[in-house]
Formats: sequence, C-alpha cells, structure tokens
Amino acid sequence: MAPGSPTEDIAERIRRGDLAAEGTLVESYYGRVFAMALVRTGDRELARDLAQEIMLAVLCALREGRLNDPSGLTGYICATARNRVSYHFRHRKPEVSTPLPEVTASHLPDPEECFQSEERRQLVLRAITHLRPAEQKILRLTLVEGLKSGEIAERLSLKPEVVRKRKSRAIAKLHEALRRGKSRT
Amino acid sequence: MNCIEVRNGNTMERYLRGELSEEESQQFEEHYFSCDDCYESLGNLSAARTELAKDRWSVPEERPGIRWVGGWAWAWSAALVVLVAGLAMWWRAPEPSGVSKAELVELAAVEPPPYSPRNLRSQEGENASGFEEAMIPYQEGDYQAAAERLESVVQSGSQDATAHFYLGASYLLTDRPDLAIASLGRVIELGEGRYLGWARLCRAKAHLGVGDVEAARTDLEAVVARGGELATQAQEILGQL
Repeated sequence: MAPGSPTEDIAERIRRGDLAAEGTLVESYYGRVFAMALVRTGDRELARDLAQEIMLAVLCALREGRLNDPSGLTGYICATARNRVSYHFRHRKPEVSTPLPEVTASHLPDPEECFQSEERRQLVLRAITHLRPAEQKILRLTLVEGLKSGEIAERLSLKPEVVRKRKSRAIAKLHEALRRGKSRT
Repeated sequence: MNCIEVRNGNTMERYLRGELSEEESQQFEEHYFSCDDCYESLGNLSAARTELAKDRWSVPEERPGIRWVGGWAWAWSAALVVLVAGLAMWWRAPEPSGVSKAELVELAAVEPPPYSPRNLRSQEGENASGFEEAMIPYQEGDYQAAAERLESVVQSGSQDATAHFYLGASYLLTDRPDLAIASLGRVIELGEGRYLGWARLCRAKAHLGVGDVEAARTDLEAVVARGGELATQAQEILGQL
C-alpha cells in the first residue's frame, strides 16, 4: 500500500470495523515491522513476538479511532514499531495492552513470511548459485562479515575499486534475478 | 532520505549490519516504510545475507602456517606448489598481446558513463518518455532494470543513438560484454557524434572483457584519434596493453 495509497481510507475503514482493510494493512506493513524489529534486536523469535505485538497495538489504535491524522498512518506505524522495540530494551518485558476481542494473534500471518517468503528464499538461493565465485565471495564478505571494500580488496588481492564494482554488479544481478523470478510466478 | 541516497550510501547493507547511527536508522526506516522498491530490495539483501551466512558459502581463511605431518606431506606439498605455480603462471601469463588475464579483467572495469536528463521536445515523442523512464534506474545505479527498459525502447524501433548507447553501457555494467559490443556497435553505425567517443571507449572495455585485445586496441586508437578528455583515458589503457 505504501506510496500513493489511500492510507486515510484504510484507517477510516478499520475504524468502521472493516476486516478486509485490516488484512490490507497487515499485508502492507507487517513485514516492514518485522524487518525493523529483526535488525534492531538481531533475534528472529523476539522480532516475531515484537512484530505481532506492534501490529496488534496498531490495529487496536485504528479500531478505536486513536489516530488523529489518518494521512500519517505510515509514520504512525513506523514510530509505534520503533517505540515498542525501544521499550523492550528498556524493560525487557511485554508492553501491557488490551487486545480487542476480534483481534487476536491467530489472525496474523507469520511476519517473517511477510518479509522473506519461502519463494523469495528459493529465488535468492538460485540467484546466488548463478553468481560467479568471486562475486559470491565479495557479497559474503560484505553482507555477512561486514568488511569494507578496502578490507575485502586486501584479503582478495584486488583493487578497492574493482571490489566496489564487482559488489555492485553482484547486488544488481541479485535484484534482477529476483525481479525476473517473481514476474515469472 | 530518498532512494538515490539509500543506494549511494550503501544504506541497506549498513542497516542490516547495524552500522547506521540511530538518526540514520530512523531516516531509513521512515523511507522503507513508505517505499515499496527499497523495502523489496531490503528483503532481497536480507535474504541473501541469511543464505550467505550458511557454511556452504564460507570463504576459506588464510592459514597461519603449514603443519608438516610426515614424509608424504612433502610429496603432496611439492605437487601442490607445482600445481599452484602452474596455475599462477597461466593466470599471470601474458596473452599474445602481452597482457595477462588478470590485467585484462582490471582494464575491462568500467565507470558508468554520466547521464544528464535531456530536452524531451527535441526527441521522438513516445520513445523519448520511455527513454527518460528507463534512465531513472540508470541514474540510481540499477543497471539491470535500466537495460530491461532500454531494450523495450530500442525494440520499439528507436534509431536514437542515446538509447542504444546507454543500453550498451548498462549491458557492460551488468557484465554482459557480448550484448554491450552489439549495442555500442549500433551507436557507432548511427554515427551520432556526441556518443561516438564514449561508445568506442565502452566497446573497447567490452572487448577486453571477452579477451579480444586487438579489437579493443582498434577502438581505443579511434578514441585517441578523436582527441579530447576520453583520448587521455584511452591512451592510458593502450599504454597498458
């Protein structure tokens, strides 16, 4: 739903009890919320729990009409997610909230599946397999080991400029392979 | 924060590795909560990171020293040394042109040719807007997407050298030198003066990418003959061939 979507309409529909609008909201934002929680906590299980709490809190707020400016829905969800993750680090416990009767965790899908579906994982695996060994190596050193281009260059006896170019080509190939894979399915 | 800043600052990688400041993280989160493209790319990179963290992709670490375990170890080690030396000689060995394969790879590396949006009124109507749309990902560094869109522009029958040129450049930047050679050859055939030098320089890089040093040399000499800023670059590469 994100850019150019009628977020005001969605917020209003949820306030009126439209379950389909809730589904649209979850589909659009649940994966994003999980991504934020995952990056900030580094813990998949915790990120799942937090994402679920955050989504429920947002749905509750929208149902109760607590969002003053519906056009700020995206910013509201982002801020709610960040505050909830920060709260976790300050208190290390679940935030107390009152779930609405119809809104239960069982209605929500797996947030990780929203962010990284099995289909995407398979496409990524295939795309990585098709990269050149040198590109795989550079991507691994960048994304997993967190090395800078200069450090990778030193380790692989290449010029930093060459590493930068190979890395950006590898990432571009990856995105392209995924884009093509998705358009085929 | 916008998509271009995200791409130029390696923001996604740094975000996934937890290297952004709190302020930068917040700015990026606000961006990808409202940008489908960046959210999609973040998911791709995150999935790649998860996959690459598995053992099967691990990069062997340098060993601090060789542990000798007995008489046979000497024989095996000696054989290994000969093999490695042979491979190294093959890799470093000059081609008939005097350039090693490793050097060719380096010489074939290419910087994206610069692009400035042009005046649409002087172009071919519908194709012009298609071209400008295609150049959005190019300016954002997404050369795969740019190539795909430029292919549509060119396939619609455009005789615009600019579209052919940036298609060739996009192929080159996405490691498809054969396709780059064909597209850049079309630019040269069309004879559009503004892109001739760039087309020849890029085609020379594409030729180097496929190991055709003689063809590269011909293009580079043509660039040098035209003079100007590109001639200096071409001359430097020629000096290394």
